[in-house]
Amino acid sequence: MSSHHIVTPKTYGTVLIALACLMALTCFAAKSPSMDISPAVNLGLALLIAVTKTACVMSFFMHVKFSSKLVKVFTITAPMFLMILFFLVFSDFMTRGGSFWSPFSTAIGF
Amino acid sequence: MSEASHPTDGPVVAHHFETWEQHEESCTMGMWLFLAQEVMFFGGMFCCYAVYRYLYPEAWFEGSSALDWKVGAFNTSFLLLSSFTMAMGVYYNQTGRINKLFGVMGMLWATLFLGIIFVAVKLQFEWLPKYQEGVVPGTLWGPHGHHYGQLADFDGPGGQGALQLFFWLYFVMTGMHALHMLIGFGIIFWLMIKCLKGNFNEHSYLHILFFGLYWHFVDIVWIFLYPMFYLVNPPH
Repeated sequence: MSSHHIVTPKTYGTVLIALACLMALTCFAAKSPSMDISPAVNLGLALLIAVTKTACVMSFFMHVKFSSKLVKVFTITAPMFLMILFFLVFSDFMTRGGSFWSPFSTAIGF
Repeated sequence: MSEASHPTDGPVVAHHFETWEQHEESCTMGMWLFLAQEVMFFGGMFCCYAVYRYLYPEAWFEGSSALDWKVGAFNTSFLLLSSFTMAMGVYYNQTGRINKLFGVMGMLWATLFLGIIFVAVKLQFEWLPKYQEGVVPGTLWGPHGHHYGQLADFDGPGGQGALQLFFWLYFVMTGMHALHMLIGFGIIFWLMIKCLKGNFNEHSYLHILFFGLYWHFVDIVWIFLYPMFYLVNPPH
């Protein structure tokens, strides 16, 4: 047997079912009239489901849950830098054209 | 990765490592660093997408409405299933089942088959109709026809230019994703040849493990692309 941690087919199957359910939830949250709350809430919900699916894939399919702490640190470096990129870019675009909050409040529907 | 001979009684440690654990950990970190630069590559495009969606929410909704979210959902399910078959390929490699239907070879075929369906559906039902009906940003832009004719009437903020931006990002981002899948197909063929040559066993699994990481990464990119392009809600 391999020296690497072996994830069982049962775990992989459970993750696949969870991913299928989350995909159905993504479609429901976006297309159901009862879920049409506000653009910001719907976008937030879609991103939350996508991040949850990503966590499932990374943890089990990509074995991150069973990896060393050093590998875990490596896996979060790029998302962290991506958050810095988004923060800097949007701190520019959201403060253009006058008041800081006016374009933001328009975007989220308040 | 080591080019050492194929072990039968345990993993072969490359000459510049002291232990197998060190060998495996180093290779794993190298693969994750590669994936980190891939995240930054797609992340730049997602950032571009986010800026223009923020600036032109009406055009984004109009463009997204013209995409068939059911075809996207169909494709998403095939990609998720291919991630599962790839993960099972890693399992079979780690348990020593290689050239069998329920083994690494069978799972590579299944992954390849599901991936080809994804790309074929995208070409036939998404990109081709857009090309035929003028939904191509640039000098060829001129939406018409049954599926995309309504796009020509859009005169919201940003006008047709903003719509073209949406479809430009749609083609670039889904195109780069499809390119990664095509590269994946090539790697799958290479891994199949290595399977047939007897290069893999329960102690030699890093190639399959790392290709699995690449394939799951491509899956994750699509997990974000799908709601961002196909499921945009109307701006209130």
